[in-house]
Amino acid sequence: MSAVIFNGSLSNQKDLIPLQKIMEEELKNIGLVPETYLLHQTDIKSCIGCFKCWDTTPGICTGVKGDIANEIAEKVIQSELLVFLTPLTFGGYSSELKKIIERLLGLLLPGVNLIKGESHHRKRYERYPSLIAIAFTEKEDSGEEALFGLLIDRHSKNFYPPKYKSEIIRDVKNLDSLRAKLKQIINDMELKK
Amino acid sequence: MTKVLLLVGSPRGRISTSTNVGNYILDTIRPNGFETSSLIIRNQLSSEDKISEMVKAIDLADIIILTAPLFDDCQPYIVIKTMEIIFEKKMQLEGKKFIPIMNCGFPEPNQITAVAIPIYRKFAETVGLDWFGSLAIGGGQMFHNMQKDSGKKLDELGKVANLLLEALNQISDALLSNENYQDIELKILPDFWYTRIMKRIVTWMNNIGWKRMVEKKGAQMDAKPYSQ
Repeated sequence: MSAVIFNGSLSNQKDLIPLQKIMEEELKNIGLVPETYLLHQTDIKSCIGCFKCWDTTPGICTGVKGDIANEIAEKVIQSELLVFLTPLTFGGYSSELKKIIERLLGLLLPGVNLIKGESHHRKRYERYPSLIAIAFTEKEDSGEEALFGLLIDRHSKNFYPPKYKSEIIRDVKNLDSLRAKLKQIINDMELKK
Repeated sequence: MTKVLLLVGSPRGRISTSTNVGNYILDTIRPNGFETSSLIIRNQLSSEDKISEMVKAIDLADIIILTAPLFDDCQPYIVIKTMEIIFEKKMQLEGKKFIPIMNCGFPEPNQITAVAIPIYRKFAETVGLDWFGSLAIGGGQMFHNMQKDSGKKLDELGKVANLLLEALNQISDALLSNENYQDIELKILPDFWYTRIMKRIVTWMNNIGWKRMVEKKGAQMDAKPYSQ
C-alpha cells in the first residue's frame, strides 16, 4: 500500500523538509510506501481550465501536455493516503501545492452532486485516498489557522477522502516533538496496516 | 486621474467570465475620468520580464480589481502565485484599493465566501491593501457559456444577466462616488425560484447535459482510466 506526499514549499523555503522526512519514516512504520513530490522541483504545468479531462478524454488531462501530472494523478488514486505539506499562505495552500491539486480534477466526474443541499463534484472512482493536510507557519494567527481547517473540510467534500485531518505546525526545529506530533496525527487517522 | 488596474486571474485567460465581468466595470467607469488597464495573469507569469511588468502596473495603480474563478474552493494557482509575488516583493501598497471578484460554476456563492474571500482579506491585510468590497458570483460559468454561444456582451444577454449587471453597476457606482461597498454575495438564481425541488431538477439536467456532451465526442463520461 502506498502514500503520496506533496511537499508544497516554495523554492526558497526549507522548513518543510524535516517534516517531510519524518512523515516518510512514520508512514513506513505503519506499512505504507511513501512517494514524495517536492513540487517546486517537479515538472508540473498549471491547469488551463479547458475541462478536457471531463469532456474529451474523461479522467485524463490532455489539455496540458509535456509534464508528469497524469502520472501523479494515477499514483494518487491508487494510494491509500495523500499528504499535503504546505507553508500556510494567507490561510490557504501555497501556489506549488495548489498547482497539482488543480491538475487532479479529472479524478472527479463533471456535473454536480447535491450534498446537504450544496453542489459538489461527483465521484469518478469508488474509493479515494484518505488525506492528511499539514500547514507550517511561524505566525500566530488563529484566523488563518481556522481558514486552513475550513479549506480542507471543503476540499474533502469534493475529493471524498474516507478519513481526513488538517493540522497546523509551528515548530519544525524540535525534531522529537515534531515526530511525536506526526505520529499522533497518523494514529488518529486509524489507517489500516 | 485615478488609475484602475484589472488583473484577470482566470486560467482560461481572456475568454472567460473573469474577463467579461472585469471589462464591464472598466467600460462603465472609463468615461467618468478613470484611466483603466488590464492584464491577464496567466500571460504575465510566463517570464520574469512579464512579472516585472505586472508588478510595475500594480505599483502604479490606485485601484486593483482582481477577477478569478473559484478552483477547488479557493483561488486558482496563478492567483496564489501572484499573491506570493506581491508579498515577497514587499510592495508598498498602502492606500491602494482592492476589489476581488470571484465566480464559481456551482450556483451557491457561499462556496466562494466560505474560504476564498477570507483568504483575499488575509492577503489584503498582510500586504496593506485597502478593502473596497468584494463580489462572489454563484453560477458564473453560465454566463461564459451563454456569451461563448451567442457572441454577445454581458449587457446584451437580457434578463438572465440582470442580477449580475446590478451588482457590477453597484461596484461601478461605489468607485465613482469613492465609497466602499458591502461585500456582495450574488445568487444568480434567486431563492424563490431556486427551491430545493428546482435545484434537484437543474442538477439532474446539468448532469444529463454533461453526459450527452461527452458522448457526442465519442467518449465515456464515467471512464476510470486509472483503475487497478
